Amino acid sequence: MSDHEFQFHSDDSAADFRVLVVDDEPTLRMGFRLALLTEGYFVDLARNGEEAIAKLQAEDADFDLMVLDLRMPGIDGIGVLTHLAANDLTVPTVIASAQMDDRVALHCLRLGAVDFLHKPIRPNDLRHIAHEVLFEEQSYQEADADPVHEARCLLRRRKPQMALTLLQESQASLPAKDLWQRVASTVAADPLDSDGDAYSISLHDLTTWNTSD
Amino acid sequence: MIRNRLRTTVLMALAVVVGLGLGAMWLVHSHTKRFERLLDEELRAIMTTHAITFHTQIISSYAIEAASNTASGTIKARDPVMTQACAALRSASQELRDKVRNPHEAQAVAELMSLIDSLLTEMQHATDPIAARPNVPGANGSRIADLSRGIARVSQRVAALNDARLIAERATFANQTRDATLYVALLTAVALLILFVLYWQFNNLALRPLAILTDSVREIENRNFELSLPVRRDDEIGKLSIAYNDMAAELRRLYHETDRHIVDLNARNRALLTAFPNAVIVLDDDGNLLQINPEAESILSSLGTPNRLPAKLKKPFDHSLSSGEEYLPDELDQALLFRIGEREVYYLPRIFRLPAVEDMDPAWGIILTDVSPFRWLDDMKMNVLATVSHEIKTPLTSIRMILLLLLEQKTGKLTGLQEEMVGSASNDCERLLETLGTLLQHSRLSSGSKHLDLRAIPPSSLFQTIPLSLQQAADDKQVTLEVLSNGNLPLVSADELRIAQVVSNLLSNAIKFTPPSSTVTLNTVKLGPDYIRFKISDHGPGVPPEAQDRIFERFYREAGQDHAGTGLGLSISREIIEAHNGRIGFKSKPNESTTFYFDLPIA
Repeated sequence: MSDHEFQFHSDDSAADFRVLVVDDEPTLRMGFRLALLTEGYFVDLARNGEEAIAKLQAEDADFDLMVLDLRMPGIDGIGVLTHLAANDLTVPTVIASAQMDDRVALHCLRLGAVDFLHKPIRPNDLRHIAHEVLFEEQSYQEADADPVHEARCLLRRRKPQMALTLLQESQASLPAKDLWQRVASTVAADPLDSDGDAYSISLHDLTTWNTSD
Repeated sequence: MIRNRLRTTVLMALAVVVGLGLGAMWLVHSHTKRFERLLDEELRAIMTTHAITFHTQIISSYAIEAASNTASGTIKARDPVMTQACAALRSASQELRDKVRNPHEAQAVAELMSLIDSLLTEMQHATDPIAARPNVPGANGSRIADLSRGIARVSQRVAALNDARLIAERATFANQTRDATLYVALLTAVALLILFVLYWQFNNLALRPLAILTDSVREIENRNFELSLPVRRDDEIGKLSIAYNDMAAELRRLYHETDRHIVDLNARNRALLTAFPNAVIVLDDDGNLLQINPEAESILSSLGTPNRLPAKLKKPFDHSLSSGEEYLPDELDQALLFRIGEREVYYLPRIFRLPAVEDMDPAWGIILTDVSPFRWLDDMKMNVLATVSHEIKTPLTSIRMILLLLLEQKTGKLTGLQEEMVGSASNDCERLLETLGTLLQHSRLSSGSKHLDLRAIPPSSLFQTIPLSLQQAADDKQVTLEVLSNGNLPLVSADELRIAQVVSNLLSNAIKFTPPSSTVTLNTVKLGPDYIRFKISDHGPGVPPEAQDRIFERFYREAGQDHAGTGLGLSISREIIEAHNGRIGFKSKPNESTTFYFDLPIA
């Protein structure tokens, strides 16, 4: 199965976005790719952490989004995130995993991931989150977005302190403001303090935030 | 027979006392008798002497009167006084002569007698007119006077003799009195001696054996059953000794039997303890080891603390000591981890009180149960569950993804039949994922039900967010979800996520069972001072009676039920609510309404 069998052309600028899907499950990889291809995104695939890092570090690497599995043989999702953080690379990352708990979620948050998809994932969940991340990014750059979106963009850019300040100063009453304020303050806090409970962040909040719309 | 001997002894003692009394009485009596006779004799002798003197004087006074009165020349011979005096004189002299006892006296009395005779003869002559010699009247008178004087003199001598004898008799009598006193004293001494001998004999006979018996009984009290009494006699003591010996023998037998029994029992207990696979430690109230079985010994020595409790075990033990409460955990996660050599072993400690019994102070027992295999199985189960569910979930996720993409038909058009086939497969896939999720949830709950994230939350918030999928299911059936809000309720202590699962379970059931186009009502009320009740009511057929006792059981599914489900929902809900110290239940009116409720404690 190769790309040229499916040529999808979207109406908007979706084709401009490059998405990297990292998963060790071939069928799921294919599913992710198809779900995103049908939306018109450019999709590249990586079978494991090593491949992902290689593609991310390549000269022409210019990914707008990475969908990252956590459990993989060799370098796993956390390993990839750690490598990115260590090399000062910022790719907005959505964690797609079945095995995740609050502690792992907190760890991922600190390493720069801010969106979570809890497996099993439906094609529309993936499309939804990809659209949100990619087009929010755009709307953030265009300014005048709502403060939660802005804050999440700032978090993706590893600016938790700015995100926190933005949310704290915002007068608007938004449903997820409290949650993301907690996320921002957690990420902004001392990374050595790994006690996630102190910030009352639960994976449940994060995943339901993304999928319930 | 002691009774007879006792009687004999008492009688003998009585006889001695009576004998003593009688002897003393006889002595006093004879003595008095002699004294009286003596006194009588002497008194009479004195009186006789006095009478002789008295009558002689009367006679002489007559004679003198006659001599001076010569004119008449005679003494009135027939004067009665004179005659009487003569007679009295004669009888007194006669009497005196009868009482003579020694030659001195006899000589004096004989002299007196002759004098009296002469006097009486003279008086005869004087008074007899025929024989009167008128020529010598004067001689007559002087002779009488001489005779009278002689009589007075001799009778004086007789009286003196008598006096002397009386004095001599008195000395003899005093001697005799002394002897009598001596006799009585001697008699008393003899009686005392006899009484003492009697007492000593009685003592030997009855009191000493009793004392020996008493000592022997004391010995039995001190558990010394070996002593037996000699049986030398055939009396009561002898019989008592036999009975005592029999009793001691029986006691000895019983005691040895019990002793042996205890020894046997002890040996059996020891064997049991030795064979007991669990470590058993017995400690006193100060925490000193009293008893320990080989298993415990080997554990303690391999832990490097052969003679005391290891620190991990000492902590709960000290707590039990200070609080006096037993520590009897039964959850696997309360087991203590010990490193024995290379091995990690989990011991579940049970600390319990051994009550005080006779001769033994209260103590504490500790049993260590090796629960490592169970812990291992438990871990295994969790691992297996996690692994299996991951292994199943991962391809299932992929399959669902592909099926959904196919159904979207963005990658190519499907025929009606193909769409139906893929749709059916997709439905199965969804159900499989749901089941898997529930199973995982269940295993997580049963392993970590103690780790609730309890917070004080307003009751209304638990019914506020209804999961999308349930809202969708309700909409599909045109079921109205009605949330009655009761704003002024106190906060409840709950783990919001877990309670959301319960609400989701109950609500999903309610939507499943309520007829289309009906209403499911969610309500919150205060129940007494301690609880808030959360109610979810539907208008379904109700819970059939045969299912009512079992619906909270794991994997229970109603017979003939065509609704999809794993049969775990209510069981999980119950576990969650019980972990909250709450209650879960239902009230069912057949074909009218069913209300499931859970009560949560007020924070």
